[in-house]
Amino acid sequence: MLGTIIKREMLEYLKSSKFLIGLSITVILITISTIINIQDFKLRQQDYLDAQKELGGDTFRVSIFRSPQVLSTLVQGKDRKLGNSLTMTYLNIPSRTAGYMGEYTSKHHRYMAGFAAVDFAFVVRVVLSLMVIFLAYNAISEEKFHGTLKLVLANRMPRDQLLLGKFAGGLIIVVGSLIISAILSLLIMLFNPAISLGNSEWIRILMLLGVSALYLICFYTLSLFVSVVVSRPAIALLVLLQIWILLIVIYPNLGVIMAENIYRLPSEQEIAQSKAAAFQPYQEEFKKIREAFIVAVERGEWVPEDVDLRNMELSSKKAELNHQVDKEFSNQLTQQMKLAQTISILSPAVVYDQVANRYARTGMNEYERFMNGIFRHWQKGLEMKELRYKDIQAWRKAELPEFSYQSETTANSFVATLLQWVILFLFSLIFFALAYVGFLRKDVR
Amino acid sequence: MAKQEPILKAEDLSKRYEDGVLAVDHLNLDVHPGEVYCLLGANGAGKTTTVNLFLNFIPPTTGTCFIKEIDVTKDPLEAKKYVSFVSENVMLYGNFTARQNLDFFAKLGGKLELSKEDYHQVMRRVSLQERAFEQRVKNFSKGMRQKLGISIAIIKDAPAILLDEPTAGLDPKAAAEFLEILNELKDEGKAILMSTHDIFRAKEIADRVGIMKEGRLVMERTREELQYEDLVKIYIDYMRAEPLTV
Ligand SMILES: Nc1ncnc2c1ncn2[C@@H]1O[C@H](COP(=O)(O)OP(=O)(O)OP(=O)(O)O)[C@@H](O)[C@H]1O
Ligand SMILES: [Mg+2]
Repeated sequence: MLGTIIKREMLEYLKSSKFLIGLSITVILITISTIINIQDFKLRQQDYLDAQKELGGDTFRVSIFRSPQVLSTLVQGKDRKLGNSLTMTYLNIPSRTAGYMGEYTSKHHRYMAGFAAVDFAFVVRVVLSLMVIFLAYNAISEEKFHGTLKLVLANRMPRDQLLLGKFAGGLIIVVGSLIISAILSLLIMLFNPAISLGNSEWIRILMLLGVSALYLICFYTLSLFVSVVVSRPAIALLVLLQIWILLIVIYPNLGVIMAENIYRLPSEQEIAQSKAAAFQPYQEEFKKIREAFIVAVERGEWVPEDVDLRNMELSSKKAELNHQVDKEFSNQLTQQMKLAQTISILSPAVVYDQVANRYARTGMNEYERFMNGIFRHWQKGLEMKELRYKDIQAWRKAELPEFSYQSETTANSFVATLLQWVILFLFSLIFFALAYVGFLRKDVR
Repeated sequence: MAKQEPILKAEDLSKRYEDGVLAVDHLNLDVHPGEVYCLLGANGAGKTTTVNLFLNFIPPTTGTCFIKEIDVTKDPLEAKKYVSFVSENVMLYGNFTARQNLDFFAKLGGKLELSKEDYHQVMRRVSLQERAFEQRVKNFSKGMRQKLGISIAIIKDAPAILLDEPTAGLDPKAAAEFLEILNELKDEGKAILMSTHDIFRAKEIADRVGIMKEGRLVMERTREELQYEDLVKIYIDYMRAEPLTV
């Protein structure tokens, strides 16, 4: 019996034009966006490799480049937006990467900049969620309107089984559409020599698929619930579209605006003041050392070694303190962003976005790891410089190791997103329970 | 006809809706195997409510409906095994063909092993045009849909059939054909309860006729009794009479 209901429900969707239209749009968008995103990744990868090659042995100015993430082909996230090049000296640690390398040095013109927002995650978040709403908004009300609900329930068919069957049938279609999209994306990627996916990437892709399915199920159960409660299909669709716009467009931005107002960030001026205040205890000494330094240079004498060392120590101290203030600021920025995300947690779209970015390593978390790596690298460079005054032999042999940083492990990424899984699951569960209770009590006439 | 146990039976059945309307008022009625019972009554007399009570779509306020002696509120799923239902103007699944609709409802009715030929046979029996068998129901006329509706009831092969104004909106020929099929089903021993506004055809086909007014069964006549009485006149008289005092 359940099988009969599931099969019919699936057929109903497969025969419907709304499904065909939705799937066609999805397939076209996925194909185009994957091809473009791969192309973009390829160019950025090439830029990165070129830049690495051109890196000179400059020991004063150290340039570091952030390599593009391969999964940005599926989830662009902030991978491109955050820029990828950075130059530091012992006098200065930049608080963030500057611009996109390509904007200055790349030979490749970024014609697809406007299209960059469309990726697999976008298709799931916006296009497929919309398709799910269009599929299910009248799942129950239409059957009531056409009288088939009565005709079905005149048989030995428990109501909960009918709802379960309809739910399962639609679910297969929804998840099936998702899987088709994913397979299409992956096929395009696999046939592209520029893309190579390791084991951890595959696991991450599977996790991404899982959370995408759960995200769509949220919208599916929501639509099912509305179709149980609202008898007029047109009104049900209107209600759902409004909820959709609220959840996907308005609410996430509202979160950001609210967070900006609740959690005020210091102004440029305040930051400069903090930096000055932090260095205040050393200011007097630094002034003297600088004077001694300049006096020596002006007289054409060797700068005394203790002055030279102290000068460097204080300069780097200043850089470090500045960095701490910057870091503090970026922590606050992160706090503000987290507040915005917490406020927006009621929007499945925001939750999904967080998780997708984390899995693709294209979110803030990965970026912060990179920046922490930068600071450690800077410290290592400084230690080396100091060696010159302490152990000149060792200094001659020492070499600054190549820059590297620790990405989040796949397992840790998963653990870090458990809460989001739970939230999405709870959404689905609540909507399904509401639909269930509503349907058991529904007047079927 | 030897008196058998009734297949359909309403005992002291009442339904008062939430808004206070007493739609069915202490109704007693039974339908035996091989019998067609026609329920007449003005709009709002309570016919549809009675049918809905039999199908347990709504709970009764008092009394009980029995299908094959099963209390439908106590064991609705078991009771529904023994009843087919033809509603007024059912649209069916528009995107599915006639046969696919039939197949779906046959399976729900517990008939799992039927072949394409079985379905065609039933559709031929209700004289649905051959070319419509594999066409989508979406564009079917009302008459074609009602034919399909009765073939769904036929294929379930339940001992009781409930019909709510099945001939409403059919042209005279289609209505006549429809009732012809009902006659055959009756001859097979089905117990048939049909609500209708068509007095003339009710008189033709019914073994018993009941007239409902404001939820009460105000009159019941057998076929034999009606041979000497004018059903139309009785009906009009009852309708003209003063509203019932509750
Ligand atoms: N869901 C409901 N809530 C409240 N009152 C209702 C409801 N359904 C029907 N009624 C009332 O119950 C009474 C009987 O209605 P019912 O539909 O059973 O009549 P009917 O004999 O089938 O009429 P018709 O010939 O027009 O189909 C009417 O007064 C109607 O207004
Ligand atoms: Mg009625």
